[in-house]
Amino acid sequence: METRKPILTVENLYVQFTVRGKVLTAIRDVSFELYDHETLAIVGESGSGKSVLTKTLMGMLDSNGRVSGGKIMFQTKRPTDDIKVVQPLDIADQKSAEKRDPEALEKEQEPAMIELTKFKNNKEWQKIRGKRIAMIFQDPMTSLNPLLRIGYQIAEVIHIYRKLSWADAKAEAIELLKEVGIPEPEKRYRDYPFQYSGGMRQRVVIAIALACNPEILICDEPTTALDVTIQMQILDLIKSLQKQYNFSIIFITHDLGVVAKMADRVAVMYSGKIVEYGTSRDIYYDPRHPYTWSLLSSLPQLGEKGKKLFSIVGAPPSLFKDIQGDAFAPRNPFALKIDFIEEPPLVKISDTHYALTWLLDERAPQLEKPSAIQNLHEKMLNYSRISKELKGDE
Amino acid sequence: MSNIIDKNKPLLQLQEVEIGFLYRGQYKAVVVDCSFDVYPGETLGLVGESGSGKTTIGRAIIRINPCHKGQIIFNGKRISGKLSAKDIQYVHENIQMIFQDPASSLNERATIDYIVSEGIDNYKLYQDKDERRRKIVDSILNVGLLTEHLSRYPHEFSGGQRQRIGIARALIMKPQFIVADEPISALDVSIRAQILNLLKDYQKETDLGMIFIAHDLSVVKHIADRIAVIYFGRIVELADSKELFERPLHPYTRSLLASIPLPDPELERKHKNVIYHPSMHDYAEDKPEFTEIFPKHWVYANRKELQEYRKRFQE
Repeated sequence: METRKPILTVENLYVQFTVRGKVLTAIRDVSFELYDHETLAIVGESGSGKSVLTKTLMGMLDSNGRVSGGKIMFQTKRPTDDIKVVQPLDIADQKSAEKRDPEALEKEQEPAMIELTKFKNNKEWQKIRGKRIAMIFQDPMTSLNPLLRIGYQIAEVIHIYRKLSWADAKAEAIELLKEVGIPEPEKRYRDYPFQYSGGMRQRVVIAIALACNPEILICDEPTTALDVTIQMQILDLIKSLQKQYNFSIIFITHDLGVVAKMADRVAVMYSGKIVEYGTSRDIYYDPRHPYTWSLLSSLPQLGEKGKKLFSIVGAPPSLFKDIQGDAFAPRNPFALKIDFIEEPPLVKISDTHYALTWLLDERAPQLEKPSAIQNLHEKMLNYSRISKELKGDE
Repeated sequence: MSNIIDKNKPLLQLQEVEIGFLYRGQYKAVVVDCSFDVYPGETLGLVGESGSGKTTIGRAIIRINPCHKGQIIFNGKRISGKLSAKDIQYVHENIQMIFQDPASSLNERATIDYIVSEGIDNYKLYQDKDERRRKIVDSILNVGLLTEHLSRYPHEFSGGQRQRIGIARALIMKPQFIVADEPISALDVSIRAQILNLLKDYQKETDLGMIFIAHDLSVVKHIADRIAVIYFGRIVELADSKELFERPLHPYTRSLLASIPLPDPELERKHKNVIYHPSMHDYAEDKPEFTEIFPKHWVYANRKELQEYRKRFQE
């Protein structure tokens, strides 16, 4: 990835919750970067902390939660008017430069750094949330207000955030509805959410998220509540909008099938940690962490007829306790003795591919990945008539 | 009533079933001309999008929805329409349903003990208290829960565990037939596999017939022996699951196949959506029929389309 600049940098992030006097660590030492125009998928089971992570990025943690370590840096290319900006360069230098020639500085358009973890109150967050970082939630049934008309819910965002008049906001909202593929937007503008189907509601939610032309779009399982055919349409829509509007996407899901379509890079999360990350080719064709193996092999697409589908036994560990060794060890059929004692190191496999496992240690036994996920590409080519026909396109 | 199962005789038969509802005073058929057989030990997958009527068919089988035309036959007995109380009990004892949403299908105010035992309590399917207890404990252990869970309430369980409770509640009746209505679509990927394996294991032991309703063909491919594809209340294609994946004929089936997300970034990059719209058929003169085009492969098409389909798969 040559010298691409990250738009969002998360460094050694820790997030803790206090529940009934006990401390729960939901995010443990997470670091990643999100680059311009790319799609980063965060994959994991429920309880792995992926939703907490996105809530942290949006400043929407519940009142008992807090960032207890690390920082989140957001690099915006848009004018920052009233937001407190941390410049990555020497600040004193910058100031003197400003005094000398303010116009020259403007021309440079050096992206401004904002440290999101320094934000204290909602007021500060509101300058970011929805405007620069927007979010699509999982359930389109509950993320729209059932009492308000669809059009109003979109126009409201434009009116408040972009300070357009109501008439202009309405025109813009209709344009957005058209953009996300709602037929007859002028008519449907006045409908209520219950008059829309699930897929159409999710389109509306996307329209609302795009209303302020965000730089980052966070999609929290946007299609799990939808039918497969609709799921494909929504995913295609998000992809084509990304091309058009040039935003970056953080895509949260538990389904590795969906990720293959969307992601440039993938981070696999388990009990609050990123256990493996790499480009999507790395993760699918050369997965190294046993948890990634497990997630992949439990996909029904890879199951063999008549054989048992691979399933991960047990449940994720309680996050109230300190975790000794590898958090996945008790459920890991490939666990080594050391996994229960010492935390595994982060091993670099290639420039883009890292995994947190003892299996990659030179002293570890050489293990083959499970047979279900070997020769993945050939298997998928033979999956159905349709996938075979795709092969013919080459 | 004999409970001896003949493997070659269909366990459940739907014969030209039509199901409809009154909508603003007018009758509207939701499912039309629906016929299929399910044999003991077999799983039939019903696939279609939401609103296609697949759940309605499932509910008609356990007599929640009435049939307006045609009949449903179970073990040689008609179970649709008016029945005597005894026959209704026979249906309740032998056909069970697993519901889609584990969050809303369990009574929030009842303990697991009560939820699981309600069926056998209703029909006194035990001799004494000990047997009742044994049956409950067995059923709960079978699905991988613990006896200590019996005194808890549904809100204390995770989604996967709740779905197990729903399955325990169905299996305690020792049914011959189960209608599983999207039992895994609300669950995490890793837990999906557990639930699918659980159902499959039970089926191997007991020659249970099953209808597995889903909107996702990849799941159905794994669990079902035969698949029926439903589009707006009509079965448009019915075939062995392998055959359906190898030779999908109806354009709607093809669009469903194309929408399965494959865990393969190379292929997904080339992916093309197949969009189906019923207006692509020209049924004005040449009326379509549900025809057996290849052995055990049925498709809803008119004569011209049948010719095309045959031509496509001649080699």
